[in-house]
Order: sequence, then C-alpha cells, then structure tokens
Amino acid sequence: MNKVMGNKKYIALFVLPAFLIYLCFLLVPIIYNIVISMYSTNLMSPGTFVGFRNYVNLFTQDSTFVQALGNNVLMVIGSLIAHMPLALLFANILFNKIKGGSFFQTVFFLPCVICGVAIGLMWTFMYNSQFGLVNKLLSLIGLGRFSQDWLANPNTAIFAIIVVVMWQYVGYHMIIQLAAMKNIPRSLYEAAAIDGASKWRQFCSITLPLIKNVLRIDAVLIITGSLKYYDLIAVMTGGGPNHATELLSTYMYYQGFRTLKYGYSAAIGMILLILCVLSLVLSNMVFKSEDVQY
Amino acid sequence: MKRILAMVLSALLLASSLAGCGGASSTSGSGTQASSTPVNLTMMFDATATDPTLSVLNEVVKDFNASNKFNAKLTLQTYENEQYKTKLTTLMASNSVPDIFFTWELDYLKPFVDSGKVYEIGKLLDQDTEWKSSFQSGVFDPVTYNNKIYAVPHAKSICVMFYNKKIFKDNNLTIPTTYTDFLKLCQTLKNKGITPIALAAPDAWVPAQFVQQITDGIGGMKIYNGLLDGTVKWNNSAHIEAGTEVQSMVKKGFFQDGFLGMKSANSTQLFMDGKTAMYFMGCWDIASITDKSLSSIVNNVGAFTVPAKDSKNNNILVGSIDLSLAISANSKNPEAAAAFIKLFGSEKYQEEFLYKTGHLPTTKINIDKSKVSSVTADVLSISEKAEGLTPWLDRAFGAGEGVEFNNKCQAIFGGKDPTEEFNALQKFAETNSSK
Repeated sequence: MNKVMGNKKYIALFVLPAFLIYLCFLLVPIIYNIVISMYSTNLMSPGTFVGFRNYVNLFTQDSTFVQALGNNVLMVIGSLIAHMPLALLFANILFNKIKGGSFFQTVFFLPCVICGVAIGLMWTFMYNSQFGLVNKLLSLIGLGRFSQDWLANPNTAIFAIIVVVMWQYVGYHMIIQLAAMKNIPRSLYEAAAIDGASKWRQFCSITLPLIKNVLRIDAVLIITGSLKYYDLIAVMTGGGPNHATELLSTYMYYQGFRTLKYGYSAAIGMILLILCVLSLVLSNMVFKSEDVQY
Repeated sequence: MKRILAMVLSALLLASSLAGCGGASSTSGSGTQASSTPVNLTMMFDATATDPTLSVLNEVVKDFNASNKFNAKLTLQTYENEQYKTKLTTLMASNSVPDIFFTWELDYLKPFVDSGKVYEIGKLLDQDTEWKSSFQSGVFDPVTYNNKIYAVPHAKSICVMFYNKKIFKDNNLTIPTTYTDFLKLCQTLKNKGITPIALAAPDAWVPAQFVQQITDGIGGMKIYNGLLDGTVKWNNSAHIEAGTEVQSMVKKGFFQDGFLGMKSANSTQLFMDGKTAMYFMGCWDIASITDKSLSSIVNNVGAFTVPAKDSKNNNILVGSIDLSLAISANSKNPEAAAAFIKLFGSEKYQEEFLYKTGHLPTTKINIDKSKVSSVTADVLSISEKAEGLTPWLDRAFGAGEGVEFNNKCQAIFGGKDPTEEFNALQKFAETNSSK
C-alpha cells in the first residue's frame, strides 16, 4: 500500500472522483453564476449582456435589496451576540462542573438537532397573536399592552426571527467551545488556583487564550451561517410581510424563481459569496496572533 | 496486482460519482398515428389533496385512460400552489415540462410562450371547429399571444362577497346595494359583536384582491385598462382612495382579530364555522364552502358583489378565466394531449365542475339551475350581470409589478400609508424593467 500511496499518479487517480464532484457541483456553478450575473435573462430565451448593470441596480435602485442586506447585518450581529459571549458563558458554567452538567449540555444542544422546519412551525405557533405562548406570557407578567402579531408586524418580524436563530444555535456553539475548553490541561487551573487566581482571572488568562483558535473558526461559522441563512425565514414568513424579513438568500430565491430574473438573482448570489469570503478574511484578521502554548 | 486493484477502485469511485447525472428518461411513443404502441402522457396540476377540483380531475383522468384513440396513459402529478410555481419555472428552464400543465393566463404564461416553451394549441383548435366553437366568445383572449392561442381555459372565476344567510336573517340584515349601506352593514354587525368579514393577510394576493375590488368600484375599468397601456400610474388617485377606504375598515375592526397573521385556511374556516358574517374570495371556494365535511353553513350561504363606491361601476368585478391547461412544446404527442384537454372541457365534465365544485363554465353548456347549489346560482347571476372583469393584477402584470402590488396592499392592511406605498410601487414599476 505504501508503494501505491507513494506514486503521485495513484494519488491523483484517487483524488480525481472527489475533485470531479467539487468541479461539477461547486466550481463550474460558481463560474456560470458569475457569467449569468452579467446578463438579463430568464434562462429560457437567450439573455442580453448587461455588464455590471445588475450590480449597480442592486445598490442604487432596489430598496428591497438594501433592506435585505440590513436584515442580514442584524442577523450577523444577533448571532454573534448569542453565539460568542452568551455561548461562552454557558460553556464556562458547564466547564466548571456544575451539578447536572451533562443534562444541561444535552438540553442546550437539543434545538439544533431538530429540523429547521419543525422549529419554524413551533415558533410560528408561539408568536401567534391569538393563542401564542409569547403573548400569553406577556399578559401574565402584566405587559399585555406589548402583545401583538409578532410575525405579521413589519417592525417586529425580523427581530422575532433573529431571537429564534439565537436560541436555536446557542447550544451548538456552546458544545464547540466546551470541547475546546476540555482540551486544556487541568494542571494549569490547579496551579492558577494555588497562586490565588480568581475564576474570572482563570477564564481570561487561561481559557480564552487557549481556545482562541477554535473561536476563530467558530466566528467564521457564525458569520457565514447567518449570512446565508434561509430555512426559518422560508417557513415562518416567506420574506414577508412586504419584504420586511427578506434576507439576501430569500430575496435571491424570490428574484430567481418568482420573478424569473435569474441574472439579477445571480448577482445577489455573487454579493452573498463576496460577503462570506470577506467575513472569513475579517475574522482571520481579528483573531490573528501567535498561537499560545503554556 | 495492486495496480489493477487501484485502477478498478478508482474506476468504481468515478462511476459512482457520476451515477445519477444521467438525463431524463425518454418518453416513449411514436407520434400521432392511432397505433397500438402505448403513449405515456404526464400532467402537472396545481391542487392540494383535499381540493374538491381534484376529485373531478381524477375522474377525467380515469375516463381518458380507460379508452382513447391514441392508446395513451396519462399520469397526474399535483403540487400545492407555491410548490407548483417553483416546480413549473424550474422545469421550464430545464426543458422538461410534462406534456400537459396547468397555467394561469396573461403575464404568467407569457414568458414561457415568448421563449417557445409552449405548444400552440390554437392550431389544433382551428382543425377541430366543433371543439373550438363549444367555447364562449372571448374566453381565449387572456391566453392569446400574437393572435395565437396557447392554452385552453376551463373555468371562469370572479371575486364575490360570500355571506352567511342565517346571520343576516337573525339580525334582520339585507344585502347592501350601495357602498354606504355596505359600510353601515359592517358597522351594525360589529356593534352586535359579530365579526363582519373574514380575510387572511399573510398571502399577499388575498388583501390585494380586496383592494382591487374597491378600486374597481371607484375608478371602473379605465384604471385597469390604463395600467395595461401605461396611461394610468400605479399611484393613481383610485388606488390611493381604495387603500384609504380599506385602512379605515381595518381601523373600525371589520376584519377578524389577528387577520394579519392568520393562515388562509383558518380564515376560511372561521366563515365556514359561521363565526364571521362575510368572506371575500374568488368563487373557486364554493367547493369548500359547500362541502359538508368542511363547512357547517352549506345551506346558509349566498353571494353578492361589493357595491361600488361610485355606483356607475357597480358590476365591475375582479375576475378572469381559470383552470387553463397548456401543452408543452417538447411534448412528443401534442395530439394525444389535446385529446385529453378536449375531454377535460367536454360538456359532461364542465357540468361536473359546475355542479360539484362551483366552477363557472367557459363552454356554452345549458345550465340546469336546479342542480346547482344556491350559492352557485348567486354567483352565476352575478357573473351574468357583470359589465367588466379586471383580472387579478398579479396575473396581468406577472411577478414584477403584480406581486409588488400585492405586497403593497398587504402593507396597507398592516397600517402603512397608502400614498407612500403606491408611490413606492410606481417607482418600482419605473425601474423594474431594467433589472
């Protein structure tokens, strides 16, 4: 076997199937997407070449696109808040071996093993203005005047959905961060405790620097995940009411499959791709520093 | 040995990675001659499993498969409304639409016709004069492009105000004849603690068709025609006035609580449970409203038109043709497909659609008024009195301005300023064509 693996030809041969899949289903579509984003086409009749007009129109004439972009930014901010500091807090509590830790670990993780559609439906019921849990709870604690139709009100709908996303994935990121924490040698904490370091001090000086690498990867996951978010929106509001909860991904779908402007929709897809790559570069810059080893 | 093993392995991997990339299986069938070689046809239709229309459609399919001169077997695929639209556009773009497909008229079908994806069924209609002449005049207009017919409509749909006769009788109310009467009626009901109108806003076309009906009553046909030829702008005074009217109805609480977030089916159910006095919808809902397993008001329901604010527009309704079937351009057996469509539109099934599901016929059949439910009779007489129909704007203007009109109407129901919304729509209309 060593002989086989040593031969470059064989390596190429074994890599080929995976590479072909990658080529067919990722690279070629992306390149094709770049091409049709410069056309005005419904994919049925030959399109007309329009250069960068689709991109220009997106930013200058399309208020819905700008709104979708804004919603995406809100989504990223909301996810970062819930999935970085909050998830870290939960992970740290569990890491410090509280009673029933593994129980809470499972409970927090549970929402992200349930499929998105089921979660969407469940929260649609909870937000319902007639029989929803949210309004019931509000009136129970004397805040009944705030009860409303959360998903039908354009001012609250996007926030209502962001809360669900925050809730859904907090356990997922908690697990990732917890796993990283568990890799830190116990002896470091024991030494710190003997030296009289407080829990907070231990967290800042031992835990945080040592899980930085994982946090960097996690940040990329969070940002790209919330940029290309789709399923809950599709289930809960479909982008409505009047585009108030539109994200780039749902708006891309809308322009492509509902209005048959595939070129325009491809341009939105390209913006989404660029944003995802940018976020990758950005989070690498933010977390850039030498690896810490103790 | 190892080398051979490696090659075999990689070949296997390669083969498995490419499996499933094969093209669509070819349709069998040798063309038009009435031969013994079986012909397979597929048809795509927009319906849910509980749709009463589907039961009649299944009968037609069974009838067709039992005997036809093409020895053809038709397979039916049905999809829910939103799924159907996605599926059809995707199949259109990849050239794999089934032989027969359900379609909407006007601007919905137009891009498919323009790209040569639809078979010109008009050719076959012209050859079969008996078939063509069985249709009422004018029903082909919304599916005619460049003087060629591309689909066959099998029903007429109009928007009506359904009402619960029992509630009206118990409260000594009569059908309103003027717009003021209509508002008074709603207020009376509201004062008595009865919800006047059931309406579901999350599907944007539902609030939009109500706004369109009020607009028809204010501006008449000239608004619709003007929008079509570009002489009337989207932010015209009739639209804004209608938006304002509707908003004041919302403020007065004429629609059920929580209507902004209520699913369409639940809102229909409210009316069918006798909890609201009226319900504004296309007449296709007769099928559900008169279905005993769904509705508790089967014998207590009637229909009227919303009186126009300007009484000279009293009989102008939102409505168009419906149940249109078209043949795909890459169908191998357009004649066999046409034979099915002809059977679908035959007198027998036009009657079944009318009597069982309340679809108004597009052919010249003699209607036996004793066989129709009282609400269908109401709708028939409304249809006869109609002086003009304005097709749903999302059908007339397609997914661009049409769907945006729906969205804006939804926003107006939600409390947004009508002037601002329609100004935004006009701005959208001016820039949309360049996208």
